[in-house]
Amino acid sequence: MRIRLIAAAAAGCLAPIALGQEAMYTQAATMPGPGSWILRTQMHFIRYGENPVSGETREDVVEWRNAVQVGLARALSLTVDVPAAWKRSESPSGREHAVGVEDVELMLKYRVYMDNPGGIDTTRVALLGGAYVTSGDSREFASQSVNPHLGGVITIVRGRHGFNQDLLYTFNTGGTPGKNNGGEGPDDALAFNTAYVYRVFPERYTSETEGAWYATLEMNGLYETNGDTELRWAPGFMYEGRRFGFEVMAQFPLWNKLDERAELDFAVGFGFRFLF
Amino acid sequence: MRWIACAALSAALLVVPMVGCASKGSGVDFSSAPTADLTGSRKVSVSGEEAWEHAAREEDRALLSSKKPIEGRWALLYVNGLGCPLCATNIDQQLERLPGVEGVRVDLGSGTVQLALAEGERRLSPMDLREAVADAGFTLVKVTQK
Repeated sequence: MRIRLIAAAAAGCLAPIALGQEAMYTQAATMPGPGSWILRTQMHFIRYGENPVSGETREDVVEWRNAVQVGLARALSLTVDVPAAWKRSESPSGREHAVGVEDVELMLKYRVYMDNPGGIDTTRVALLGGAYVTSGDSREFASQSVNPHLGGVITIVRGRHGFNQDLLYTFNTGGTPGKNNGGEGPDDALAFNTAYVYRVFPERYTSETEGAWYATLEMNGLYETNGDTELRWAPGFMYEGRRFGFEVMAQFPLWNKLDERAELDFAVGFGFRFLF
Repeated sequence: MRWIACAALSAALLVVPMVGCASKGSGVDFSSAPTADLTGSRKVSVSGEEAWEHAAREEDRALLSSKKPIEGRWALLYVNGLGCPLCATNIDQQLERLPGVEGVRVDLGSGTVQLALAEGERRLSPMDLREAVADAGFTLVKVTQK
């Protein structure tokens, strides 16, 4: 376990993710240039309700994610996301605690279309491809498998308004029933996320502008091939400076039809991102 | 024990990026650098916000393909797509890596980038600048020199 933690820590340290206009749970078709890299570190508290498979009545998860996005070429970047988690579950038989490292995400983002029609306007489309790779931790945290995923994302910025839509299909080859909090197997999963980003301040960029405040609103959807489907909504805000960003987000259930996993009660999170 | 390691790593992740965030242009005096001449650009209103949309004439476009070295101390780049402050740093970084660039200053208000060029080093061409701006994910529309 110590080796896995060191590995996670090392990945976090190497992590000097995403560039601007990216909300917390939705991808964006933006990326650092070649040789630049972004560290994104996030802390989430997530509460789940009753799990019909495992029999747990409640589960609290504190998840700490460290992601590095490195610009490999003009339109290509690689992201490595290492999530560590602390879990506390309650069941009729008592309470249990566990700490571990979840599946590591490796993702390539390749921009296939870009149009910059105006001073601050842009439209970008990127393809996403990669895999969730087991960290080697116990089945409580890791899938013990390699699960490829494939998808795409579009980002449109017009003045103060930004819009992101992603679609990501995961071919799950492992995973443990009852240990799935959404998309972690054993069934395949289709994630579809929409984010609206509104620049609250400044109203207009000037030569003195060093940062901007944004309000964000996301709809996060997940369909699994066992029929489980969930929609969540997530309000938040973020600040973007020249080399530093800060984000705060909450997430709530909107609609769901879940038979094989627990539904979300709520989630809150905050994070930082740095461009190097 | 694990949480102590996590806390220590978090602190390191927050402190390390603070070091070395100074921009290459921080020591350069830009007071004599050329400022944006927006007579050829169009002010457009997008959802209530006014922004500059730079347009290029035929000779501007031809210049961007030129490999002839830029003369003088300053270059002024007119760039489309500069939509956020963090994006602006991406362009900073690509330009700062070019040989002979002494300082970079991005003006999000006018969508322009001032470049301070060092004397006596390998001189950059407009094409070098166009490629660096494209690497950052933006579109160089026009470049002027002084």
